[in-house]
Formats: sequence, structure tokens, C-alpha cells
Amino acid sequence: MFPELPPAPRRRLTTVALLFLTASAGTAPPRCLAAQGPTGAPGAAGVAVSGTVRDAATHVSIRDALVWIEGLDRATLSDSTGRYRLTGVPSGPQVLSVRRIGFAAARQPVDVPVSGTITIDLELAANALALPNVIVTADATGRARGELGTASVIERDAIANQTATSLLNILELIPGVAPRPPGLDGVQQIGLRTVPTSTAASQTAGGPTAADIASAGTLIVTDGVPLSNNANLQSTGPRGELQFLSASSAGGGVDLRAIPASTIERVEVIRGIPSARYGDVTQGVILVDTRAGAVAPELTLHYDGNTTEGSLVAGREFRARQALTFSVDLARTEPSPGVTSDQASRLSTQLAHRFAGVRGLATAPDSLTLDTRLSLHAVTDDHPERPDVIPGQASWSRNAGGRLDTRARLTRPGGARYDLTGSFDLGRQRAFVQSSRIRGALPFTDRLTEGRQVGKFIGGPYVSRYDLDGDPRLAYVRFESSLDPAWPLGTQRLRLGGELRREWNAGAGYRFDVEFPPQTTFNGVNGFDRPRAFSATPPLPTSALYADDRLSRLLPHGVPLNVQAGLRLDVLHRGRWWFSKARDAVPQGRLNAEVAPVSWLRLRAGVGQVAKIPSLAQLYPAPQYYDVVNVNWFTNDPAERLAVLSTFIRNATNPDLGFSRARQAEAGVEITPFRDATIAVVAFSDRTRGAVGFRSQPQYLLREHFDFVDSTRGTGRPPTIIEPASFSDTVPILIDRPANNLTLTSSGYEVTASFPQIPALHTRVEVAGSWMRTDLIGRDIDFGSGFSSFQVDGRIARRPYWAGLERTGQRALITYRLIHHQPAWGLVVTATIEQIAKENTRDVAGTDSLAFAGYVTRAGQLVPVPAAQRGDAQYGDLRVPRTGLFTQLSGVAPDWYLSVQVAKSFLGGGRLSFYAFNALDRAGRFDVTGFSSREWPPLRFGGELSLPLGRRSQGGSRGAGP
Amino acid sequence: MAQWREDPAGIWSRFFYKFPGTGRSYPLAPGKTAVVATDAIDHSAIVRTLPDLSRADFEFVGSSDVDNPDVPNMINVGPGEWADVLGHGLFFSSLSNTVFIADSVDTASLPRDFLPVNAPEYRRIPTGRILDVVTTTIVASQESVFGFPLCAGDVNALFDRQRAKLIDVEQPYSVVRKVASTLPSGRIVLQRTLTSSRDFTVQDPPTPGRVP
Repeated sequence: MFPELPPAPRRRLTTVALLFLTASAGTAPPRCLAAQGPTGAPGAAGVAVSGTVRDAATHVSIRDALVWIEGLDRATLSDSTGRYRLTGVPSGPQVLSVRRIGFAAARQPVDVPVSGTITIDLELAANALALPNVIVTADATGRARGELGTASVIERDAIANQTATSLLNILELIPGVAPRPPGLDGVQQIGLRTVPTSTAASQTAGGPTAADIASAGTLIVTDGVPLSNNANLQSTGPRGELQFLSASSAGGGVDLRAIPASTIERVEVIRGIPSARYGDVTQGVILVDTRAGAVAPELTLHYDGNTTEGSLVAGREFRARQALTFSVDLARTEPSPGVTSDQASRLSTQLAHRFAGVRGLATAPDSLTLDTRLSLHAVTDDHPERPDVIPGQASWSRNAGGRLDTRARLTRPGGARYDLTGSFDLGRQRAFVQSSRIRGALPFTDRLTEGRQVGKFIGGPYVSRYDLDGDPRLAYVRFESSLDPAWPLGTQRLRLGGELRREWNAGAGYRFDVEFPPQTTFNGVNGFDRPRAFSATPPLPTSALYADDRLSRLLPHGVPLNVQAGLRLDVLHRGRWWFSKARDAVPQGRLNAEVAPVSWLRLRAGVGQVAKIPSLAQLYPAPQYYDVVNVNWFTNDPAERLAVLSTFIRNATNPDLGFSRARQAEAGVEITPFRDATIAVVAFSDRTRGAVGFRSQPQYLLREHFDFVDSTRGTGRPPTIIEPASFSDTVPILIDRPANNLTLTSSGYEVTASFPQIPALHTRVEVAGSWMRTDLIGRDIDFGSGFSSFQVDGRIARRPYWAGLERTGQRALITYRLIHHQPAWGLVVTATIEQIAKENTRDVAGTDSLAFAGYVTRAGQLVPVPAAQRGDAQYGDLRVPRTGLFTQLSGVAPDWYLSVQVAKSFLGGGRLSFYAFNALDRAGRFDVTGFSSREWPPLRFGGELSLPLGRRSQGGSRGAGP
Repeated sequence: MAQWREDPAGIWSRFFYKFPGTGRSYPLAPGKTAVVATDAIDHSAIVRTLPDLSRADFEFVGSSDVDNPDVPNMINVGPGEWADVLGHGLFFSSLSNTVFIADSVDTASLPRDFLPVNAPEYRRIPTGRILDVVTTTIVASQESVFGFPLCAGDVNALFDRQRAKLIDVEQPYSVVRKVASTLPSGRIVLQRTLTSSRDFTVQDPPTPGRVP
């Protein structure tokens, strides 16, 4: 891992930079051997923290251990006697962190007094499970990167204890995220602080769909570079022309299966208001650090009845200033072994290199580090044909990608830091769907341009095959400078930065034989699909500037205050590059503040704006085809038949489409009533305006009708139409354009409580709970589900439309974790009880017969009807109940299930663990209909073995292996 | 919904089609039949085992099917909200169907109501106009596809007392009325006890337009 750590003291810059690489895997809090009150003279710029780092087993002092204050640029190395000293540490609650190759990394919350010196002695252990108070869950008070918004930090030991397959299994430690068994079955998405509202609750207990997060999403940053799915075009159109792929993140979010848990060192989840550094986000930020540096070689094997996984991580230092790390993860899941041959598999690998050097005079050198990573991944889903069940039906997807990223960091003697980060993501998304279809005889045209032509009649059984070939690209550059301005307000850290992004798709696109399309019918107006080349889609260039300042100072009576204020400007450009004019721009102010009036109480609050970039699919939707039948003359003699169709093409692009904008606010309190106990409560309220939905705009087409000459049967020739048309009628259509027309509000509470261990039982309890409610409000009109009948049935003169759609979801989850720890045995037993207190979605829009807002004519004209007149006799045909894709109240009954994990360390630092997800195999109950069906995933149990393969270096050695 | 199913005042239905003409345009003599096809085409040209209906007497026309100019089209007089999913006009795809014929009525003036889920519109044909009814449902061996118990019936016992479990989702077939007796003249008398489960049986392969 190359964490974004603060610079070391000037005299040891080179050494510190190297030791960033030598951080070992694993996390355990250092044991505080002695903590005494502040001594010495107070310093105006902060307090000094000092102590000694020792080996927990031998009590031998450890030199060259990196010790730093998380979130601040305060770091040092322990000297040859193991002693360290940090100066200028702001008063108040801080987190002291220490790393050393060969030992588990460690963190220790510290309450820094207003002045003087505080002594904190630290112990490190090679095996975290052998230490008291090992952390196997998320630290709800973590601020690893100095973010003041609500955040949680999940360290390596907690990740290992999760027996997780991918990032999603790790995020289950965050309040409000429902657990899923480890494995690769099904696409894995995350949306923080929101209840999925697009689908039934029973389907969303495990996470949102791409539709839920298409325009409002959680940002995922790996090793300092954002992941993006904005150029994914593997989506279905607004009319559902394409068949849904069962495992696809098309349309929104990132498929977390591509991020294996085995190669993750640490995860920080910012649920509150992020600093101005982060953009393209409306629902929190997830920062992922992969394992890199001089990591002792470790092989991990995982097996359960469905999933087999193996991973290897190893890193070493060479030529004094360089380090190389390699990781690989292979996993395979069979969702229903013995029943189907479906399977999902993953290959993920990364090669990381760091070069650290100095230049300039020896007395005041600049430090330059260069981090470069090459990451590759491939996730496949295979659903082979089952001839005995559904002949002809098969599908697969292959999503592969590579990223090359590099970061140059220059640290000046005065503490100023300059970062230049660049990355290039290259994706290769392939999907294939095949199905046996049969269609009756119908008129058909394969015309690709507008106009009228003689078509033909088609019909009969066929095998439909289509390919979706997308090649998304992302070029990303960020420049950032970090300064310590000498402003009088207090200790400050100022960051100024800018970002450039360009995303596009070079894929061959949506391809199929036009005569054998995936769609077997059309309604005589809305046309058949047409192929589409993704490479013809324009690119998506965006840019951003940001400034962010963190202030630490003491208020009267020695009360520490931390404030983080920032301003960010995101720009969406109109052209192909960043030099073009702005299509949309959104300034975003962000403010977080934290105050600790007494040592056991910390109060926090934040407010800010965030914005999400619209995706390529939303900016440039596929053109919509309409095939109107002019002549439908199907005689018994094939030679005399005649089909004439007119093709209309409508561009569904919305030139006004822009950012989704969200306003976020939160307030929280953290209490430390006694040692090793923490209770945190946060209330939040997020409101996203202008989330992207579809706006249906009525128009009409002119349908020509023709008379014939020579239509006598028996001639062996088709009739001839008489030009011009004998008459024309109008056919109403709807152009579905992406628009910023949805409002998404989420509010709720999060509670985390961690209690100290009960000595007699060697057991402690942690509770994480959340209640949240999400409202999805549509601001546009909708036409219900019967519009296609209106299109083709000329008897219907008008049809009602409705205004406003609101869908509400509520979720209340409480997670109880009982952690039994036997340090002498290196044993940790974790029992997790997941209680689902509430989980439902419902529509609250008016559905009664007077709910209509007006009507649309056959010429596509909208005529509003005042509410007072909707009961009039003249509107009797409009007084029908609202129709559409309504989800009635759906949800699951309050219930719970239990999962158990047992981890045991053994000689040499290895670990053996077993887990049983839903150990009692509880099925859950469906609340509304009373039908008996399974809601919770079935029992899944398995084991994981971690084997250290290399020799651990000890004590004074700085190396990581041979 | 029992008040609709057991309504003695008539039968609630979603889909109504009228025969073309004046009522005298296409007379049907006693003992004779007329074929009303979803698509009046030679289906065997598409799937070899299907019948040739290109000589049907009438056809339903959907939004995206072919129109045989030699076969008169049935006229949709229903509420107009029918989602013509496959675009081929009326066909019986449900696993539980009620089909009836009635004398001409003004459908626009009929009482109407809506189901609570997704609100499809139903209208009631009065009892006095109803001529004949057949109610069918899936064969017993395939009842498990429903996953829930079926309602006893769709219509009041005045019209039909019990469904015929004849629908086989795996086979093409005809639902035909049983023969009660054959007169010495050779004329066939069909059975009609207002109980579909007793009056109807299936014929496989289908025999459209033929009296058993």
C-alpha cells in the first residue's frame, strides 16, 4: 500500500518515503503501555507526542517504525532505541498510527491535551490476533485522511476477519449496508445512505441496482484515482429495446466484484460531506488502498460450496530506493452447482512500483516519489444453454479492464507538497445474449434512415443473437498542492487542486442481424431495434478546480476546534475537449466542523453541496426508431403480398442535461463514556435535485394510407399504391429524453456503539444501526402503461396523463456483533446478528380516477384540466385509475439471521478461519402477500486459510525478505 | 372481487369484439361453424405442425400482425385499453379463460369498473344478452405453475357452474363441446349443461371449424 501519508521530518525525508513502502499487512491497535499527563512547556503551535515503540512479544525496541497522526501532516520515525517524537500536534481527539514491516499496522485514538507533551508508548505484534483489543470491525471514528465528515475506517485485520470475496463484503461493516454471502454471484453495487427505490424490497436487501444509482451515486477511489462507469453503454434503452443482462452495472455504479478483498489494505468510507477534493459524487466516497509496498508474501485460499478463491500478495524493496509489489486474485463462483452450469469468475492482478529520491542540497533536499501501478481485472459471467430447460437461451458477459496510473509527489523543505496524478483506464466489455424466439407473420423494414420503402413480411422461429461490445476509456489528470500557510487563525493545511477527465467509448456497440432482432414484436409504431456503434458517441470531457483548507485551533478554555472548508467547481464541457465552452457548471461549497468541549465528547456538523456527472448513456441516448405501417396486404399468395412502411428517427438527446446536484447536511455526536467505549450518533439529510430520469415528450407522426390499383387476386403480382396518399392520420408518440427531473431525498440516523471487553468472558459487543428513508420524486408528467394502445387505436381520441410520481423506501437495519477474543490462543470468534427491523418500498402518488392532470391528443398536444373540472361529465373517459409501473407496498417482515466467523492464528503469522453466513438458514418472510418465499440468502459456509510464504524481517532490519 | 365474479347481473369482461357487418351479412346456418382466427394465415408455413387458417371466416387484427385482405376483420369494441402485447389481436393466452358470446350491445353504455392492481378496465355484459359461455383452466397436472389456489370460477353459476380443466401449456389442442347424442338423421346434438367441466373436452391435434 502507498497510503497518502504526511511527510516525515526534513532530515529523514528519504527514509520516510521508503518506509511508506515497507508498511506491512494487518492492523492492530498498539497497546498503550504508559500514558502520562502533559509535561514541559506548551508550544504555541501544538503539543508534542512522544514514546517508544516495542515488540509486544519480546519487548525489544523497534527502530524505523513510522508513526504519524492520521489526517495531519505530522509523521516521524522511531530512532535506534525505538523512541519517537511528534511535535505541533493539534489538541483534541487524534488518531496515532504506526507501521513497520514484519508487524501488523496499528492505530490508537489519543486525546491530545491543550499544551505540553504527552507520552504514548506503543507495542507492535507480528500477529494481530495475539494482541488484546484487536479490531475486526469498522472504526466508526476513523479519520485516516483528515476528512471531518462522518467516516469509518476498515483496516486489514477487519477485512481478513470478514472472509470477504470483494469490496462489497467489506462494506457490510458500515451501518445501513445489508450483508451478502461471499461470492461473485450477481452484480454488486453500493449506494450509501439511501434506500433503493426502483425495485421491490426483497430484491434490494442486498444492494441497489444500476437503475437506482444511475444519476446519484457513491464515488469509489482506488489508490487515489477515481473509478468511473460513466462511459458504460452496455445499457438497455428507455423503451427496453435490449434484453437485460442479469449481471451488469450498465447504467450506474461500479461492479464491486472487480475489486477483490484479498488485495485491499484499507478502506475508508466517507458517508458525510466529503472534502472539496472529491467530485462526481452524491452519496458518499469510498477510498480503497490496495496492498502494496514491501509486503511479506502471503497466500490466501478460500473455499465454500459455491466459491473457490486464491490470492497471492508479495512485495519487496530493492536498490534502496525502489519497491515492487505484486498481487493476484483468482476466484470462481457457481451459484447453483449441480443445478445449472452458470458461473462467474474473476482475475485481478496488480503490479506496483515506487521510486523515491531526493535532489538539491543535503541540508534542505526536496523529496520526490513516483508511484506507478498497473492493474488488470476480468470478471466474467457465464449462463450456458440448458437445452432440457430452455433450448436456445444462453448469455455471457466478459468485463475486463486495465489501469495504468502514476503519481509524482514533490515535497519541498518547507512542508509544501505537490502531487501530479495521471491515469488511463481501458475497458473491454463484451456481452452476448442468445435466445430462441418465435414470431407470427408481421410487416418488417430494416431501413436505417428516415423515409418510406417497400418492406417484407417475416415470421417464424429463429435464434436471436446480439453482441454488446463496449470499450470504455477514461483519461484522468489531477494536480494538487498542499501548503501550510502561516495564517494567524491556527494550524492550517491548504490544498489547491484541479482535475481533468475525459471519458469515451470506442466499442463496436450493439450488433445483431437486423432481420432477426432480439425484439420479436413492435406495435406498428415504435420500431424494431437498430444496431448502434458506440464509437460514434461523442466523448465526455469534464474539469474541476478545488480549494480546501483545514484549520485546527484552540478556542477559549482550551477547547479544540477543527474546521474544514472547501470550494469546488465542476464543469461539463460542450465539445470534445476541455477547451470547449461549458455545458454546465456547478460550484460546490463544503464545510465541516468539529469541536470537543470536553475530552469525552466530540460534536460534529457539516453542510455542503456535491454533484454527479451525467453518464455518456444519459448524454447521448440511442436514437429512437418508429416504423409506421402504411400498407399491410397479406394475401394467401405470397407473390401478391405488399408491405410498405415509413421509418422515422427521433433524436432523444437533451442538450440541457447537466449535473445532478445534491445538498447534504449532517450533525453528530461522539461520546467516550469510559475507556474503550464509544457511542456515535449521526443524523443526516441529503437532497439530490436534478437527478436524471426520462422525460416523455409527446409528438406525432403522420401515417399515410394508400389506395391500390390492380389489387385483384390471382394476378401473381402485388398491387400498386396510388400516390399521393389517399389520406393521413396522426400517430402520437413519446420521445423519451434523459432530463434532470428527479428529486431524491434521503434522511435518517446512524448509531454505532462499541463497548469494552468483559474480562471474564473475553467478549465485547458492538452495535451498528441505521434507519433511513428515501423519497424519489418525479417532477414530470407520465402517461401510464397504456400509451401504446392509444398509439395504434385510432378510436381513442385522447388519453389522460398524470403529474408527479413519488416512491418511498424505508430501511432499518441493526447489526449486533459479539466478538469473543482469546489472545493467548490467537482466536477470534465473531457472531453477527443482522436484524432487519424495516424494509419496504411503496408508491405514494395519486392513483385514483381524479388524479389525472390533463390529457394528450392524437396530435401530441397536452391539455391540462383544472382539478375542479376533473369531475365534469365531459372528462368521463379520462377518469380512470392511474396505470403504470407501480410497485405496490412491498417489503419483508421484521426478522433476523445469524452469521458466525471463527479465526485462529498459528505459528508464523498464518490464519485459519471458518464462517457460516446465515448459520441457522433462516428464510425470512415476505410481508405483504403472505406467500412463503425465501428472502435471505441460504446458509453458506466455508473456510479460508492464509499462509505466510516468506521470512519476516525483525527488529532492526528494514528489508522485507530475501 | 367476489362481487364481480359472482355477479348475477352479467359477466364482467375486459375484451369485446364485434362481428363485422349488419348482423345479416354473414349468416350461420344450424349445424354449421365459423372460424375466427387470431391471424388468418397458413400457420403451417411458420411452424409445420400448426393449422392452415388462411381460409378462416374472420380474423382478429392486432397492431403489428399481417392483415389478410380476403378475411373480414373482427371489430374491437372494448374499452380500448387492452395491452396488445404481441400485436396479433385477441388470443387466449391465460391459464384460466372465460369466453362467451352475446347479442349485440352498446358497450359504451355498459357499467364499468377497474381492478385494483394496474387498473385494467372491465365492463359488464347484461345477463339477458349472453348466449353461451365456456370457462376453462389449466389441467390438474400443471396446476402447480400458479403457485397459489385458484378462485372457484369467474362467473356466476347462472352462466357456468364449474371450470373445465383442459388447458395444456405444452400441447396445441382444440376445446370442443362433447356430443350428447346423435339423432337417427345423423344430426349431432351437443351437450350443454351449463357446466364446462362436464360439457367440454379437448382434441389434439386441433380441429378448427369441425364439429366432432
